[in-house]
Amino acid sequence: MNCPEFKKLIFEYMEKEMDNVTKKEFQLHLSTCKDCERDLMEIAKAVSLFRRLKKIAVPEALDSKIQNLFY
Amino acid sequence: MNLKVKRRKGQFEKIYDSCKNRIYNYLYRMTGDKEEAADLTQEVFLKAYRGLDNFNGRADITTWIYKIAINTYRNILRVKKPQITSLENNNENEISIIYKSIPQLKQVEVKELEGCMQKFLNDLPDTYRIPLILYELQGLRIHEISEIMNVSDNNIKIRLVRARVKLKEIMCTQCCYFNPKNPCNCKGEDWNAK
Repeated sequence: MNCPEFKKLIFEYMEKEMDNVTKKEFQLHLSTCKDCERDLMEIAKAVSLFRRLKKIAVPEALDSKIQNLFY
Repeated sequence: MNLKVKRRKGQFEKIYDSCKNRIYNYLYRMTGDKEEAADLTQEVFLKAYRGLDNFNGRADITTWIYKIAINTYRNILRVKKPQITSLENNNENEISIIYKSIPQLKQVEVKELEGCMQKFLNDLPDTYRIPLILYELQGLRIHEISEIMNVSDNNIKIRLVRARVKLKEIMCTQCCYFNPKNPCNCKGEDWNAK
């Protein structure tokens, strides 16, 4: 597996959608290419931080307004 | 109140209760502004109420509401927000190990991150931002997003790949969690409060 092929498969690897044969090739490349290893680490870090964005509840004022309008 | 109106109100109540938080959060992440998100959420449910008679039940109700939300956002904010158009772009445990290697953040740091991250998100074009929010924050599956956006599953996957790469590139140059030398845009302020 070369670097462009590796980059195309990062999403599948992160989402665990990879078959075993491809995964072995992917991991072999990962263990030998520092650039691709860094790329994967940085994407995983960005996604991990992004997922920490908090969820917020509908404000009470809006909730009441909509319920008054339609209920 | 006649029976038809009563039935419609009952149907609407169920839809509103099951979708309100998801739609509000989606619109909040799209606008980065709580007031705008509230106005848009009201608009979305107004349209949903009016359109209930036309909802034929063939589509999933969540998909239908998200479609209304996406169109409402596009219609109302198109003029206000400049669009970016020039972007181009087992060991089962290994990825878990990578995630675990990311340092845990303290509460105060999470607050800081919230402001910066919303800014980074705002820098992405809608073609990437919409699937990224729906997939990473709202937990929708690829086939659900493809139905909402009327494109193929493969197209959504490509957009997600590019969105992640773009987000990473932005963070590498702007986020102090990636490089302590990067200036922190929000400098610890609660951007949401502005």
